[in-house]
Amino acid sequence: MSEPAAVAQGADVVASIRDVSKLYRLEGQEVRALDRVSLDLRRGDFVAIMGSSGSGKSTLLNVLGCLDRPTSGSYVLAGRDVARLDDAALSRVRGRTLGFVFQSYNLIPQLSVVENIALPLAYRPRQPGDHGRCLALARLVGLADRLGHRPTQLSGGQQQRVAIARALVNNPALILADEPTGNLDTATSHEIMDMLAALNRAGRTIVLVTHEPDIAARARRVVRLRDGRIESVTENPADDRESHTGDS
Amino acid sequence: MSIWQQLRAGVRSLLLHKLRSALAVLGILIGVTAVIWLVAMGEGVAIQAQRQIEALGATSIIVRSIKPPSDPNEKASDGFGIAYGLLRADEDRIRTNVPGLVRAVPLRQISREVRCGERALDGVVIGCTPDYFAANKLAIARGRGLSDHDLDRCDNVVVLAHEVAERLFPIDDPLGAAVLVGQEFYVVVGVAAPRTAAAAIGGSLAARQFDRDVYLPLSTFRARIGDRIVAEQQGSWTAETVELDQITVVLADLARVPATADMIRDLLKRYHKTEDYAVVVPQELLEQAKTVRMMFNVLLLVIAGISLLVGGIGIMNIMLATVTERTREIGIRRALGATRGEIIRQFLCETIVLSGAGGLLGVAAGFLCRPAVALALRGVESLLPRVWAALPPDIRGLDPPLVPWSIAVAFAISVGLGIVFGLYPARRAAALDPIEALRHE
Ligand SMILES: Nc1ncnc2c1ncn2[C@@H]1O[C@H](COP(=O)(O)OP(=O)(O)OP(=O)(O)O)[C@@H](O)[C@H]1O
Ligand SMILES: [Mg+2]
Repeated sequence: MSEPAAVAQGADVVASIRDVSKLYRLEGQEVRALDRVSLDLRRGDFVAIMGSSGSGKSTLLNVLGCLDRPTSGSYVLAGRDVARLDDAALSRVRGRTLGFVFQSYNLIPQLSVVENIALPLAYRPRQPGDHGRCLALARLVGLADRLGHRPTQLSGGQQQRVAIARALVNNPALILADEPTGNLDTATSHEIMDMLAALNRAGRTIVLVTHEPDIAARARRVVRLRDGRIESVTENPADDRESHTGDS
Repeated sequence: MSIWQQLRAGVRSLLLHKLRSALAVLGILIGVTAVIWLVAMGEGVAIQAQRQIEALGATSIIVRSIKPPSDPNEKASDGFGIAYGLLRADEDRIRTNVPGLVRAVPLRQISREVRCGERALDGVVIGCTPDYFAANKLAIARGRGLSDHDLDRCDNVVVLAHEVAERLFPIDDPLGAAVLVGQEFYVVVGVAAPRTAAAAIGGSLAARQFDRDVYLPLSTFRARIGDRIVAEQQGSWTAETVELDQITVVLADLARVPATADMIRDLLKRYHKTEDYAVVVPQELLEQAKTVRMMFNVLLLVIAGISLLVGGIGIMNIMLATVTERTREIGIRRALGATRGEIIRQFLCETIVLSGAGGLLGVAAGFLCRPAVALALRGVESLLPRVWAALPPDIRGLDPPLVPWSIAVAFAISVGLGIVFGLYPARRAAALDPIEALRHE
């Protein structure tokens, strides 16, 4: 029984996990949410993680996102071993090298669009041009005319675009998206995917979790999980990915 | 984020729940106002007490006659009635023996009807020396005061208190007019200026009203009214012989008051078989009053402390609700790079904004203490005259000053309370697991 490896060599590796396991203990019973998972993400990678419910997709993404520490195994992110960092250091890593997009957008309701975009900047030293950067990102996601709006005044697709702009504001090495289209209709889902694909073509490294095959088809690679293990890794043909693209 | 931005963000978050935030602010406001008001009240009462002492004279010692408990077998001095109290000889002994004496003011006092034609009132006839007016800070508004000349000649002259003159002479000029005091006519030579009552201190000295006084030369009092006062009581006649009712001894040096009081006690003891006199030292009364006031102040501070505590608990309650409600926001901020410390800082900022706002408003309300007390007192005076009459003069004349340190302390305490009571909710917020927090709702 040989495990399909998703391990690559080279200096271009942004994130690399090796033999990562995550155990949860519930009422004396052990749940192995991740079981010796190894995965390398190269610069410019676009990986879709699929798998049935409870297969460990979110757990893997949380480990990649430094929100959770693996029970065992190693994790090197942007050249730094982050598997054993303490809470404060992990917070700093999240704020400076990662971008998050969530299924339920997770914007802060009392903040305006531009303030939500700027939120990650609040947790690192201020730099000149921060504000201009937020405005440019708002323009990039097509919300330049909604800067002062509150999240509740926006549609789901618009909120998710604000979230994408927010995920970009700290110029992250890796963008993590847990079912970013899970709350959206098909047309809006593809708009969001168009945006992520365009970002990937511009060089961003993206990992997303999805249940929908046509969303996964837009990624470069698809990682399938089952019971906390990597079941398969497949490459998507290039023309397949381009077929849905609606923007430039 | 700079502290300024953080405070602004705090204000914005708090404005999401205006009523709830306003209630938390109100709790602190009440506490801070209570501290400032109660300190002001305590200070106002202290000032009142100080004024009373000044009115009585901090350097004075008051010696007064006391009627001994009636004992029919003994003390029947003249075979008819009893004789007790201070003697003219006592006054001379005090004058000759007490060092550093500024003046000794003897007086004699009795109630008599004062009449002018149809108008009459129950007056208090005071036989005194010219010194009396200075000792009691009584100014002469019209005419003249009593003079040594009047005393030497035992003239039938009288000085009326302001209110007495007003009652007896609503239209006419009292000066030069004759008034009937008891059975004798006296010529009015002067009218005293109005004088508010000297308040009682610590219960040992009764409040002294001046508004029914008529002042005679002490020698005239002795010649016309005499030492022996005969009165009809329940059908039987009683007589009392009293030479002097009171001697007010005024010293030059405040420090010598206690020793001199002891000395006077010794002196009198030698010549009086029974204790038919009392030596009262306003200075000592002041000390007693101070202890009472201190206990009063401690009580006030306890009350103020409790109200601050309740305000703090209110803030904590609201912040706990806020943390629960904004669990997801906490998760988002943590995911986007906020450390635990930054979450704590954020929520502490919000509680400090709440308690600081309460503190500032409380200080503003503190400034209202004086006008509010004045208004309340005037309200009682006009609407509830009976209650007003029953109020002790301390309260009637209360004018609470704003005590600067109480403002600073109250404000500092309010902000401190925000930190103390905000810390627990903030720590709870920070302790949340980011994944759990993001999954919340
Ligand atoms: N905090 C936790 N405590 C205990 N068990 C957990 C915890 N989080 C996840 N698990 C378990 O780990 C396993 C993987 O969960 P995970 O959330 O990664 O699944 P998933 O693939 O994201 O599923 P879904 O598609 O439903 O989101 C599940 O069996 C789950 O019950
Ligand atoms: Mg999941």
